[in-house]
Amino acid sequence: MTQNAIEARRINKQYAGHVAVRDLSLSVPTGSVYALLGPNGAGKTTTIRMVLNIIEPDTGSINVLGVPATSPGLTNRIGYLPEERGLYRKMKVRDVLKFLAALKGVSAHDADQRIDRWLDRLSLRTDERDWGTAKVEELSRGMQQKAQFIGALVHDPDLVILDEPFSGLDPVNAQALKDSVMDLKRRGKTVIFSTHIIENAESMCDSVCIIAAGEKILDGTVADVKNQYGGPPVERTVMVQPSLYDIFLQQVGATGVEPGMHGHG
Amino acid sequence: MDMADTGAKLWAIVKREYIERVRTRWFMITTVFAPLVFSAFVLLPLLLVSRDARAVAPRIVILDATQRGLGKFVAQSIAVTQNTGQDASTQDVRVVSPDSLKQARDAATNEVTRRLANGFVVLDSMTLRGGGVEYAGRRADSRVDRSVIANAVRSGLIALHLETSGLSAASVDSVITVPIASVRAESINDAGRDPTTPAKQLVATIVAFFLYASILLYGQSMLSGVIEEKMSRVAEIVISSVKPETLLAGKVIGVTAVGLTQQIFWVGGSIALISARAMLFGAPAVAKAQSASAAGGFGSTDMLAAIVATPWSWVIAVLIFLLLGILFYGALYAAVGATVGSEQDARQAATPVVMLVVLTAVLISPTVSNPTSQLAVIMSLVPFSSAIIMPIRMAMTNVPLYQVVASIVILAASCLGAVWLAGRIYRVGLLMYGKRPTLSELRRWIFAS
Repeated sequence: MTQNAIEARRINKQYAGHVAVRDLSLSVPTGSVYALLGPNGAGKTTTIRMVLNIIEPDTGSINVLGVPATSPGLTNRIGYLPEERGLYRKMKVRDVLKFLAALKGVSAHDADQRIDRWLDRLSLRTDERDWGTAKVEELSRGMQQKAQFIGALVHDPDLVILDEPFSGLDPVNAQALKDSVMDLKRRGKTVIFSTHIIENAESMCDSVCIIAAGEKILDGTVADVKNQYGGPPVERTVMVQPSLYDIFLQQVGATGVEPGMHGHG
Repeated sequence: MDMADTGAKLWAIVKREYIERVRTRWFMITTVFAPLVFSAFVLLPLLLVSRDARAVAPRIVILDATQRGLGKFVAQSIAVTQNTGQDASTQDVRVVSPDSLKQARDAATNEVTRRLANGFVVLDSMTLRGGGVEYAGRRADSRVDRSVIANAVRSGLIALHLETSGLSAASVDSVITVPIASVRAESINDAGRDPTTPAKQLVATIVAFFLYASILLYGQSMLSGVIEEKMSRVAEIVISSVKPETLLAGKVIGVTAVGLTQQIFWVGGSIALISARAMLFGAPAVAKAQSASAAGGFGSTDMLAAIVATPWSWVIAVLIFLLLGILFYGALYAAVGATVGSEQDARQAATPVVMLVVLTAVLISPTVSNPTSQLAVIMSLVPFSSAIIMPIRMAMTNVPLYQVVASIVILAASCLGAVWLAGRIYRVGLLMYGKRPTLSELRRWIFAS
């Protein structure tokens, strides 16, 4: 458990003359929640795709969960939620999830049980309606995103990579996903997510890496980064009313709101 | 362990492709509809014959204004031509004077209007001089009816001349009731005499059409599937679990399996419908079709005989070519799908592939007519056309075994090449959005490590 979940050494990736990632090294501690921060086009998605072995780096090496990223069978231990969302629109939700589970080596029987638990947990199966039996196209955008989130976790992966997981979600659904991420952390899983919403990173992550224009600007634990780059602490006393975000969550009855998780989804 | 894991994932993709496609309404409709169309080709002649069998003769009024008794002979001749087994005396022959012809014609018209008769024939002095015959009726546009009447009048005139020449009435009767000779037609081709050529031609053409339709339909279906996967970004999730080549192989195998399933339904359903023809149309119609085919025409009986007589080796060869054809074109369509960003782009990008299939379709008829020509031999070996052309040649003539084996080997090798090529394009193209790649970019995708 002491080794890093991801160890990338000086990786580079170039597309038709455009440098997407330059000389990037990453160390993601096992069991941590790690944020990859950066503006749009910074190289976050390219980095994630290289970690997932969807594309190969031009140079450099990547080890994932203690083995090279190209190792056979490694994909079964990784869950992935891509930035661009989509599922087979004409398929039933449960069938899609079982298909995604099968691609990770989960048997149909096990998949059914896990899907049931996840559907219940993310309110996609209630007394009124079992959305698992509905076609994907019948689901709202937020529901589809939750279904895809289940697809990334249904095989109980050791490493979960979420690319902009909260974008497009309303605060209630975003909160439900944040709760799930924190639960993964409690269970010793490693979670990496990329985001350009800094509040999410600050409230949820143990470590961060900031990249821009394909290059690493800084990385480290949140506390270290703050100490190193934030200057001395400043004491402020501010009287504020609850934020609109808090009021929203309170009024619509979101559950499991954790202390300090008052970022904007 | 890795092989087993990859195999299980490949199976999951094949299963999804298969189940999701056979569940669609489109699959259900085409699976049921195609045998009906196919059977219609064969059963329509039966339907027409059964309609004719109970038609012309009993309900035609013959207005004989020749004053020479031509009507009687014409009635006899119609009875013989129609092979109804009816006595000519039951025909409605009305001997009328030339002066009263107009009233007789009006009366007959009235009967046809009131559906008491189908039509009437007018025989007059002009008819005797070879000036033709007037026929009016509800089915005046029927080529069959007009042919029956024209033949009957000609036979009647011959009988009348014979009687005028002094032949006894009994002799004239025996002449006119000679049944129409049946012609047992037999083709001679390069391989020698072959009595089943017309039937083989039809079977080969229909099978070629089905092969063409399957390849085109499933190619297009593959194209849509790839574009959906790419545009909905599901592809990215899938290729985070399996190699793009595995995804491609699973899709191609799944689509091919769907095509095979449909062919089995099509062929089985068509044979069942044709076999049930006697039940559907009645034994007399079938017997009539048999006699029609024996007389040199082409009937469904020949077709059925050709199907029944089809060697299993040919059926198996057709299935092999179908599988390889869908595989080959499926891979090419998948490669096209991976390079485009929308259905609109796909139509344009797929044109070269569609042209290959259409060019092959154009070659169907010349190959059926001349299966041993140099063009047919070459095109039965070239991979983009062999899946359709070789089965035609095999149906029509004895193709040397080495040519069949060569065709299958070349096509199978080309399938591997197409899947490899498509896999290379797929690997890069699935994650590329925006403008379509140029040829040089495509080359880079294919040959980059």
